[in-house]
Formats: sequence, C-alpha cells, structure tokens
Amino acid sequence: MRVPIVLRYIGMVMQFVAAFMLASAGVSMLNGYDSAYYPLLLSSFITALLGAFPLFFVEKDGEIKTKEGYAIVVGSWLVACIVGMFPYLIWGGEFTLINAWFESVSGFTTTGASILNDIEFLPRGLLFWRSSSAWIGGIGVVMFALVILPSMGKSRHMLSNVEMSTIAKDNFHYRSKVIFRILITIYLGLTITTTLALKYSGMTWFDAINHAMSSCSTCGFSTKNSSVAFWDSPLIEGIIMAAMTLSAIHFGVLYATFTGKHNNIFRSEVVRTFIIMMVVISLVIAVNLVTSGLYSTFGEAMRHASFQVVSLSTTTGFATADTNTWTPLAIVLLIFCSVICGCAGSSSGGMKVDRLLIASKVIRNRMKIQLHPNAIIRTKVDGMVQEENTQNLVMTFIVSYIMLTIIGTVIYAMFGCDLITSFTASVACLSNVGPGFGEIGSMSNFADLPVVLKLNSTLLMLIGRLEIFGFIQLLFIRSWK
Amino acid sequence: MAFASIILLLVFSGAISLFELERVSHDTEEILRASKESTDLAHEMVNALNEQNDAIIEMAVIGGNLVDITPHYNRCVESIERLNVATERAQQRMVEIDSPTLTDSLIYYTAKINDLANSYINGDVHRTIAQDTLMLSTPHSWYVEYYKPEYVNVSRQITKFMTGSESTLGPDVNRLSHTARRAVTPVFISLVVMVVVVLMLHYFLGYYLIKPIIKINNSLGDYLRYRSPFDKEISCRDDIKSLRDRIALLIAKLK
Repeated sequence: MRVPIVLRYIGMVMQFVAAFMLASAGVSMLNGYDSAYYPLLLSSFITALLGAFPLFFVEKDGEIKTKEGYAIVVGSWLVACIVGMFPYLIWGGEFTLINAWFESVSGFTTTGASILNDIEFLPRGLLFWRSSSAWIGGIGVVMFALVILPSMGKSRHMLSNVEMSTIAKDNFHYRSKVIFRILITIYLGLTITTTLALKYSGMTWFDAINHAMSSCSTCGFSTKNSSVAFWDSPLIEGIIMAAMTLSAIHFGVLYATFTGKHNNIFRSEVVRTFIIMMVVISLVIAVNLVTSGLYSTFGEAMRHASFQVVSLSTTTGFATADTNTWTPLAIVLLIFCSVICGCAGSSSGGMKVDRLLIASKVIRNRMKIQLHPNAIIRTKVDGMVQEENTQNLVMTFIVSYIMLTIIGTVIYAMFGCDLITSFTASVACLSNVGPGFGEIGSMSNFADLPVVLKLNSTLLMLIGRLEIFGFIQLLFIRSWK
Repeated sequence: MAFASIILLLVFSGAISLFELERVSHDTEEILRASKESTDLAHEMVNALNEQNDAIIEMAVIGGNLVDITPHYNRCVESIERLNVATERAQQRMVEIDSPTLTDSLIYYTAKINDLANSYINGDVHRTIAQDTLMLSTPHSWYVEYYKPEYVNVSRQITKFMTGSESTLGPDVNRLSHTARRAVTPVFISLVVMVVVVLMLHYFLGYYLIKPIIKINNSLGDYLRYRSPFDKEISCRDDIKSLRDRIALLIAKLK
C-alpha cells in the first residue's frame, strides 16, 4: 500500500473540511463576530495546513488499489473527526477533549447524539459547524471530495465500492462518474428544497438551513434544546418527515424517479417495504398510545407516532415527544425501527431494509428447499437475482451487527447503565440513530455517561457508519503491505 | 513552506490567545466593577438605614431626655433621602442586567420604612398617640411594634439584593472561564499540530529524499564492488531522479 497516495486523498478531504469551517467562521462574522469566530478561523487554518502537506509533496496518481481505497475512506473519516473537534475544543464551554471528540464523531457519522445540555447557549457559528459536519458526513467525506475534485480518473470507482455498502453498489447501473453527479445533485437539491420549505413555514433562515442540513444527512442535530418540538408546527414536522424519508431512500432510485426512469420509487420493492413498514408501525403505535390514554385524539397520537417512527427509521433522531414516557409496545417498535433503518445507498445508517428483505427471502427460500430439496429457488429483490455471495454477505452483516450490539450492550452495562439504556445506546450508536431510551432518551443526551462509555459510543458510531466491514479491515492492517 | 506555515500558525494562535487574554482581562474588569457597584450600593443602603434607625431610636426611644432633637430630625430626613436614592440606583442597575424583579421586595419595604419614618418626623405618630385615651401607646412601643420589624425586613432585603446581584454575575463568570480556556487551547493545539507537521515533514523527506539517495548509493556501491547492474528503476523524482539517470548514463558510458 502506498501511504503517500492515501495521505494525498486524505489531504484533499481535509481541504473540504477546512472550507466548511471557514464558511462557519463566515456565519460567526455575520452574527457580529460571535465567540466561535476565532476558534473556527484557527481550526480552518490548521486543517488546511495539515491537508496541504500531502498535496504539496505527493504527485497525482491515476489508479488506486482496493486496500488503498479502504485506507482512504477509513482514514478520511477518522481524520475528519479529529480535525472536526478543533472548533469545539478551542471554543471550550461544555466541550472537554472527550466531549469534543464525541460531538465531532457524532456529526461526521450523522448519528446526531449529543453531550450538550444547553444547545441554545452555543454561538451560531459553532451551531452551523455542527450541522456542516453532519452534512459532510451525510454524503460521505470521501465521496464529497471526489465529486468536486476533477483529477481522479479511475480511482473514483474504487472508492465508491468502499464508501457505499455492497448492496448500494449492486443497485447502481450507472458509471462511477455519473454516480457522483447523481449523489451531489440529489443531496444538494434535497437540502435546498427543504431549506426553502422550512423557511416559508415559519423558521428563520438560520434554523431552516441547519435543520435542512441535519434532515438531509439524517443526522438529527437541532439548534434548539427541545429539537423540532420547539416549533410545535405540524407543517414543519411534515416537511422534515418528507426530507428524512427521501434522504433514507437509495439516491439512485430518487434520481430515476426525478428523471422519469423505469426503476423509480413507485416500482422499487425495497422502498415499498420501507414505506409500508413505517406506515404500519406508526398506525400500531398511534392506536396503542390512544388506547393507553397518553393522547386524547387519534390525530395527535398519529402526528407524534409517525414523526418518531420516521425519525428513528431514517436514523435522523429528531424528536417532538418524550418517547421514554410511551408504552412498552411503542418503545419496542421504535427500537425495531432503530435497528432496521433506511435503504442502502442513502445517507441513513443501520441494518438497512434491503438486508432485511434479502434475509427474509433467504429464510423463506430455505424453508421451501426443506420441502422440495431438488428445487432451484432464486432470491430476487427488485427483479434482480441476488447471488449467493450477496446473500452470504447480508447474513454475515446481520450476524456481525447483532454481535456488535450485544458486545456494546455488555460494555454499557459494565459501567452501570440499566438494561434499556445499555441496549438502546448500543443500537442508537451502531445504527447512527442518536437518541435511544432510558438515560439517553429523545429529550436527554449522552452528557452524563462516563468517559469510557463516550469512547465506546464513538467507536460504535464509526463502525456503523463504515458499514462494519469497512472498519473491520483496520484490524487486518498488517496484511495491507 | 513547512517552516513558514509553522511560524504562521504560531503567530496566528498567539494572536488569538492574546486577543482572548484581552477579553479575559476585560471580562474580569467588568465582573469586578459590577460586583463593586453592587457592594457599594448595598453598603450605602445599609448605612442609610442604620442612620435612620439611629435617628429614630434617639428621637422615639430616648427622645424624652434630649434637649434638642433637631440634629436627629435632620439626620432622619437625610437618611430617608439617601435610602431612596440608593434604592432607585439599585433598581436601575437590576434593570440594566435584565433582573428587574430582584429589587421589587426591596423597593416595597424601603417605601414602607420611609413612610414610617416620615410619619414620625411629620408628627403623625405623636398625634395618633395623643388620641389614645388609654395611654397605652408610646413612641417607644411604636418603635418596637411598627418600626423595628420593618427595619429587620429592609435589612433582609438588602442582604437578598447583595446575594442576588452577585448571583446574576454567574453567567459572566462562566463566560470568563470559557474565554480563559480559549486563551490557552489555541497554543496547546498549535503545539500538537506543529509536532504533526514536523513528523509529516520527516516522513515525506525520508520517503522522497533520503530513501532514494540511500538506494542509489547502495546500488552504486553494489555495482562498484560486484559489478551487479545499477538499479535504474529506483522510485525518485526531481533532482534525485536526474542524479539517478546521470549515474546510469555514466555507467553505460564506462562500459
């Protein structure tokens, strides 16, 4: 593996991160040079400086190998998280070293979990940086850099293999260059549309931009302590729900829909399953909430239930109600949403509906083969035959996900968390959802967790964001040479 | 470039630290000034109240033995005025720091005690006592029953004002601690970044300059000792590449 080449691409990513820090410093400047101005300016300078060295020393190289691709993706994410904590660390306040690391990782992995007790106390520049980190993370630091930087040639496709899950790659029929164009068009389009819609439904420009960035990256960072509940507006909730849902759908399918192509969201089995799953769960929770007397009318119950279901299913984590007070059935269903999450090829995390669909079909086919041992039964999703290798990968991923969740739960429990907090914290971090239940519920945060658990949470977030296998490759670093 | 950037980084972080230190100094001054202002106001109110109390005691409690009460009368009038002025200033200050309700009770009790003092010096108290046919009321009993409880109330309110105004400085003190950290962290981070820059420089210089030179040297040594062919494929660039090519050319010409 050629380390200088890896460093060169990481350097490019750092330049982009630095550009966003500079933009956040601009926001600070517009707000009367608030206290985040100098921390953001200095962080931007440091990040640009660190990223400039590899660009200065290492020459362009047309081709990159698979292992180098892995190293670039994982390295970029880690480096982005490290430099991303500089503004928090320099600004101070609640941001100790570990808290700054937590907030940065939470942003870049689009988890949306926070250690902040008082978000509204933060200066606007820092709030904007928080949302920016989520937005960069949403599209993928590496992919983002690759779209804009024009000089990478063949190396683009190699990185997309790593960045997107295997399924996402399988679903793409377009050439790699087109893939990046599609992603950036969809992502930017969604963000701009959501910003305008939120602005004209009552938010200020600042809140609208931040919430649009947070919704489209499925992160869930808000500018208010009470999250979306602050506005108490069905219209705003509806817009955010639409943005979250669209952001959790395969971007290629969205592109096909907008361009009138055949394989659109109305024909996609995965999208259909995703939408039906959310509607059914919302209805069950709403009925349950009304019958248990938590809400007086079905409309009110449905409004809150559907928002929470969409928020958790898309791994965003916005909240309009304290779900800790809901019934056990509602909590179990919401945890299920946090596990399954959105579709592959989107900015959401988690196990993904695609895998759930393939796994359920594999199980069904396995039963059929028990009855008819000589039958040849193929597993199809969206009309495409899923090869045995894909099926094995899906099953391996699910098993790895469950194992990691259990290990995470044990670690949380070891340090004194109760069972519900331990399990949901593990799921919320691994699936990049953000809020869980118990001590880390939708209206609370990770501030009171001990340092070890904050580190454990960030590790789970990184593992989840890199689709488990991307991160596991790091364990075999010795075989990279 | 590396050294220039390190110097630039140090200058930049140093400037930010200086700027933040300036802010720390300014914030500290502000906090101390605000604290002193509150203490002075409370001191003035306590003094005025005690002055009024002393004058009332002189007139009402031991007044019968006095030859001339005029000086105490004047002291009382003056202290009423001083207490009024100090209370108004306290209210103004609380409005300035967005805590106007903090002085509500103080104003109420001050108005009450000043009314009592005024009623004494105006002679209203004496007239009321004179109307008491049973002769149960005396200036002394008036002092104990009416004036003293109000004196205690106002004293309490002044103490409350004192602690309340100090607690309003809490966010400022909090901000000060943040600013103080911002003055130190940039330098610390810059030092860490400098170490990373030096390590990167060391790595790249080693990778692109030192390693190729060592390889060229070894390959040339092997050629001179064992006549093994000189490695023309050593990965290098710029002047070192030119050196490699010239050595290869020289060897080719010598053959």
